[in-house]
Amino acid sequence: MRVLLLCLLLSVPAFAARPVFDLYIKDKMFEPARLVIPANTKVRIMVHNQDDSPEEFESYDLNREKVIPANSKSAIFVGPLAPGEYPFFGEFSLETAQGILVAE
Amino acid sequence: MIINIFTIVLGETLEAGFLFSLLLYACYRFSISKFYVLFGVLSGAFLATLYGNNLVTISEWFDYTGQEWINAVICSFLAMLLLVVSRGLTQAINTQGVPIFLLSMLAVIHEGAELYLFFQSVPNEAAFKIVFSALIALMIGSSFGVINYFCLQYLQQIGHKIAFFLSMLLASGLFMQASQLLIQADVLPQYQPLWNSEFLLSEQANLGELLRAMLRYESTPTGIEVAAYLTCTVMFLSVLLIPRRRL
Repeated sequence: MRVLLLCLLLSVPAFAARPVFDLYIKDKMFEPARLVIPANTKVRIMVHNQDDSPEEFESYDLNREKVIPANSKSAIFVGPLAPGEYPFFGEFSLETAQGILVAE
Repeated sequence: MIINIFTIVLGETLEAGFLFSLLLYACYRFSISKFYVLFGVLSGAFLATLYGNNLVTISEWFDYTGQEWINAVICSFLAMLLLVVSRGLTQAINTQGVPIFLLSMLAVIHEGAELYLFFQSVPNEAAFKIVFSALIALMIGSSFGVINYFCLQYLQQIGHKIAFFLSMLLASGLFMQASQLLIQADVLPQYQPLWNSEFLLSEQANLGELLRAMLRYESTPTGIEVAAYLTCTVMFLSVLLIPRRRL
């Protein structure tokens, strides 16, 4: 319990300092489909869903899963990541919503 | 699209079917009215709709991480309530209907909100095919739960031990998911994975998908996720050390 509380406290000051990257969902596709972020750094990805239907951002490699409601935005924190490519997709539109996060 | 619908509905209903089989078994074992489960499902369906309809507002809470917080709380409560019910199963303590009701309600909110939102995203022109494939997936998920329920009943003397073990796996997976959500919200720190079992079982393989949906299988867990999983498992196992009481 003490470790958990310590982690919670330590995470608060860093909360606002993350570099922010924007990712858009439009016509059931990600824009940009290839998002480049710095390696070994925790970043905040703001996902803007500009469609009239919800979408789920998902990635097995990043271990992330989040529903982004229609016409709204939401934050997803990723990293620190080793240099490499990490695919992600929109679970509600598998055929079209595909993207790659590049850590370099 | 049809395969996508089938996969998503199946994934959500398998875990729910698994959980509900354990709840119905607990009802059977303690002679609790199954209406607690039914009321829980109906309340959960109502709240899942409410959650889905207000997701934009909820998502904006806590600097756009409200969804993670709410889901982490739901997962943690589900795990703790499973512990309460499981303790009853092993210690022959008569569990009351309230934990069963709460578990049913939270499970439906947990799984139902995503399904509700998913159905909002599908095009109207394919409505029949969509409903048809969703129903098939729902039937498979429910059948799995029914089979599990009757197996536990049939096993009689060891049924409650198996139910306890399955509840422990389910709860530990849910507790790990809660930690995962808090990592995603930047509340808990993210470290490198402790191991990578991708070569043994990929999360994208059929069995991996199945285990991921039911038991939150994770091929690349971080230290915090493993710690959360083990914490919950130890809590369950410690229940076995509490002296036995009679009904």
